[in-house]
Amino acid sequence: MINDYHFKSGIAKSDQKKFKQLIEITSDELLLFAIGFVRNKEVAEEIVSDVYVKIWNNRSEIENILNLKSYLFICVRNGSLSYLRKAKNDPTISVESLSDYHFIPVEDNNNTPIEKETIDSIYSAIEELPAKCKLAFTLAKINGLKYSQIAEIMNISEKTVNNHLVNAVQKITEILNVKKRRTK
Amino acid sequence: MENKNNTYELITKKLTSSLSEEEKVLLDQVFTENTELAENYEILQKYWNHYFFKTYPNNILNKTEKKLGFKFGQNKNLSLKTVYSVAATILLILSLGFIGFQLLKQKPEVVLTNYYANNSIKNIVLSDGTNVWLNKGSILITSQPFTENRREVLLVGEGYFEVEKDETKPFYVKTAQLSTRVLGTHFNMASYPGTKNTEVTLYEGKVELTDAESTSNKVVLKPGERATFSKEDKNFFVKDVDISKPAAWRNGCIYFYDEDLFAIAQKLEFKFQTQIIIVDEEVGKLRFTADFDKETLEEILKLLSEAHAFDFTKTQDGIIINKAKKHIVPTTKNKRT
Repeated sequence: MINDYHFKSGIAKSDQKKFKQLIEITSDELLLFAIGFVRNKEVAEEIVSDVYVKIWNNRSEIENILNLKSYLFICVRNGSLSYLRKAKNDPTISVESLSDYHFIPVEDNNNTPIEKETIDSIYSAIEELPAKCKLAFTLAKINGLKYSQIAEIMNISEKTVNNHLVNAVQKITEILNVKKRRTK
Repeated sequence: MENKNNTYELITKKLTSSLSEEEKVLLDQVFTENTELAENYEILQKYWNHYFFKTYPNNILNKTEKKLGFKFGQNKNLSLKTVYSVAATILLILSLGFIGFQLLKQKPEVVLTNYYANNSIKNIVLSDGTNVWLNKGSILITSQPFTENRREVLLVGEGYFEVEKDETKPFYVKTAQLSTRVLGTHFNMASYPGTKNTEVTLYEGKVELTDAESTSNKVVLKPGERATFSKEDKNFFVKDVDISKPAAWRNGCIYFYDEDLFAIAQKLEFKFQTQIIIVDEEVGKLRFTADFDKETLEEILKLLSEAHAFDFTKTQDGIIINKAKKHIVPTTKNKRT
């Protein structure tokens, strides 16, 4: 487990196998998270691999990290924002002033599909959400993170996380209502 | 409006599994009054619980390796075998203290004997008639035949002992952490290097366990009890267990009695010579009672995950266990008990 003492102490002791496993466990999620910011898979791969390089080079410090998962997300967030500041030549870009975040549609995992039309309307509702609200929703839905972890990653209070998520859920529910009325 | 907001907050909490019992009652009430909302929630919940992000093949591992200038896994972990031989050597050095001393004053035909159950379970009969079954990868060190006044063996790994009764000569099983004093008994002892606990299960008779570092820290077991000795905090934890199948591993079976997934994973690691990583702490705390005989590792994990939901993925280096993405209602706590 990524917060397990033995796992972290393994990496601290230069156990490459454990570190490789950390990458295997976390890279898919971090890649998607970075793509949400930069919208480019190649660039996102660079950002995420830079984060792992940094962690390996500072592996003796890894045991001081309380929540490794949030820490990885924060590093990727920083890397993505710093890329955007350079690429857009806009030094004011920050998580607080986030104006754009891309939600990557998810797929159904087994045979419980929702009507295609319904799913499409859910996605359009998500697309309409404000960037920070979309980001909070992504971290809760896609990454299954706790309110406290989302708060840490977005640098906001848990109360604000709650507000974002409630807002997202309300918007999606409302669009389902509209859709129903139309089909009646 | 206040009320409406509150409803969405409850729905959000329900989706993110942070709803309290009281809030659950509240929300159920809202749903009975507002069936349209309840229908919408159904759809939302389906979306939340059954739709996941797709993973695409990526080059992150390669890129990381390239930037660091080496490939991972070339300084392979110490293999289990190496761990054992190191452990055995350490024990041997420790044990030379007493066995060596005895050897010196003994007749020349007494030899230090080293039993190593390499890839199969080994049954050993010691000079006093005591029967020992050594689990795969385990080591037993002793001087054979036993000397006149002392019966003593050292164990690394797991063994099941049927000790021949001899009131005048107590039988000692020593591990790095514990000294177990027995008269005539049947018991199982598991003390694998690298695990958190040493476990002793008593089937017959009586045993006394003593902390090797502090001889006043001891516990006496009755039949049907299992003592778990924590290598970290040096505490004994005793509980009742089912003893109808003594050391089922001797027949190649695996048997768990109310054990958490962390402990089970360790046993499976030894049995299948692989690495198992549990990513989610809550999942590691799930408890299972189950027995298996000829099932493969994948089959075992699949059956366990049907009792309490968790996900597992096979990778090149072993198994990664994570919390379940989809909700499965636990049907029964016990799997084929």
